[in-house]
Amino acid sequence: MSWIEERTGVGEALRSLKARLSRPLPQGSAGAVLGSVAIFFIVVQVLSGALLAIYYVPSWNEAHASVVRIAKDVTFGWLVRSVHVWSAHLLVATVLLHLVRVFARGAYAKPREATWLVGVALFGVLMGAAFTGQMLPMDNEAVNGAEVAAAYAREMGMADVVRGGPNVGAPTLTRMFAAHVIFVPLGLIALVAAHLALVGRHRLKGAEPLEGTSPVFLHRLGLSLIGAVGLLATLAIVFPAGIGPPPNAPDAPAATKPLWMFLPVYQAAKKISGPATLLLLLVPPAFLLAVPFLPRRLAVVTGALLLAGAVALGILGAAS
Amino acid sequence: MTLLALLLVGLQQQVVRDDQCIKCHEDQAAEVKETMHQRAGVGCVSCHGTDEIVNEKHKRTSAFRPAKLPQIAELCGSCHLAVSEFYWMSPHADAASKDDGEPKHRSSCSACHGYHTTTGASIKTIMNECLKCHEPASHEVVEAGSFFRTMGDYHHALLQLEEELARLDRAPGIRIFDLKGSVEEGRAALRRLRISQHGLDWKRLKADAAASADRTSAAYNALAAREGSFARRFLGLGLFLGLLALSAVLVVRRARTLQGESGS
Repeated sequence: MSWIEERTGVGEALRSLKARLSRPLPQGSAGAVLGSVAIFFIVVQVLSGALLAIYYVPSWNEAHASVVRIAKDVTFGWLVRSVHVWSAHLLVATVLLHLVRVFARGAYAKPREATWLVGVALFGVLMGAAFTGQMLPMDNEAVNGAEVAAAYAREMGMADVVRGGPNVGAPTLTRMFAAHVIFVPLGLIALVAAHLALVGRHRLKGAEPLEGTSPVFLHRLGLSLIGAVGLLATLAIVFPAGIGPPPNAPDAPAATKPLWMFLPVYQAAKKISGPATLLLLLVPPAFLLAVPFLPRRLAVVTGALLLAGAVALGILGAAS
Repeated sequence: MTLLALLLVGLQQQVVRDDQCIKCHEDQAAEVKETMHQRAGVGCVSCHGTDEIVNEKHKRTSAFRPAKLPQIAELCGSCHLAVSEFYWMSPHADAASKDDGEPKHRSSCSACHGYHTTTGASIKTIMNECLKCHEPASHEVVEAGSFFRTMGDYHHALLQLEEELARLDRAPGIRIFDLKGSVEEGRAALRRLRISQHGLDWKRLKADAAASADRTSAAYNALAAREGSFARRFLGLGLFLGLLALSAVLVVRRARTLQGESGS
């Protein structure tokens, strides 16, 4: 072991990590584990996604059949796919809770503006991951989703960027696959590394004057991860990810709904058309990026209004 | 001179076509209408006469013929080659070749499938035809009845398997690809049996049908077993959650121990 330690310093690195996770926590920091749980789900996504990539065929004509094969023929393929799908849902939900918690505590303020901005960028990449991942089965829902996304992108003159051509087709799948398995993971690795480095540098809000060590965070993290694994396993096993009908199948519904995280935009876009769609797509991210630089009261009021609006639109979209 | 004579005769003659026949034979035309044979282009002249040049008053010529029983089997067999092969090996072919007007010698294709309507024969129709010549308790009728019951069971099992496969077509975790092949094989076996049954080798036919039915039932049972096996995932989940709960208890105990140590 000393041979390995002498050459790699892995033990020292682990002790350093443990020391960092054993810093004392400020009051009211029970939700501080949300970020760590989100990273756990990202790791699950990377591992399960790598396994899925062994059997997935990124071809316009074979993608759907390969997903059916994964879900039905490959040993435990259904479980790996279900874990990937449910972990994606839980990841976005955890990141949303993390974002709302940090916003509510005002933890984005000086000197943690960069941490917040990198976090917002991470959230954007995760939404991109969810969108591009939903495309890969190339079922009816995916093709409809690509067409709707292209319609939104048209308002920015970027429809061809989404489709890869004048229509949704083979080039659409190619770029969705490239985005999902190359650009998204690269972005996630870079942004998570930056986010963690910044959190390590600035610590949690209110923790600056605290000295010494405390096992509280590690215990909470352990329990949270056990809970996350239990929840993920339960959802993936009790509700295995389904297989949608291929496009143009006799039982394929003409209209489909997007994933729950896109429901607010989907619902709002029903009443909005033309350049106003651009505002709908750009205002929320612009607000999130501006938050650290806005007066606290203005940020809280605007954020609360946007959140309430998004929740209401999401519920209406789900019920429609 | 010969060529000139042929030319003069030809001017008075015409090519016989179905649309000319149906001008007079409306009833027969109605029977043939919308049948598979009509869609396949089999018309009046296919059975009753070739489309050779004949005189206008065709009844006086020999080109038109009422279809005789042995000829019917030959005509049908010119397209239905596989069925014909089995039929000509059967005792029915020998009987029909006599065609002396006796009911027991009318065992050609038309007995079960009709003349102009030419439908697929139901088991009821077939058995009724059998009973015109054979006693209900005769060996032939008993064996045929037994075969058709086995065929009915086989067809039912095949339909059941198809329904199950359709229901589980997009169900995750349940492999059906290989069993879809069983359905294809089953359909092919059913088609083969429906052809070979014209040879009347009932024992062999029944054995083949029973073997095919067994294979279909085995596929159905395999599908049910796979569904049952997939349902057992809940047991695995229960065990896994139990292990997680145990881990959570250990973490909590460890935390309390550490709190106790720091408190003391």
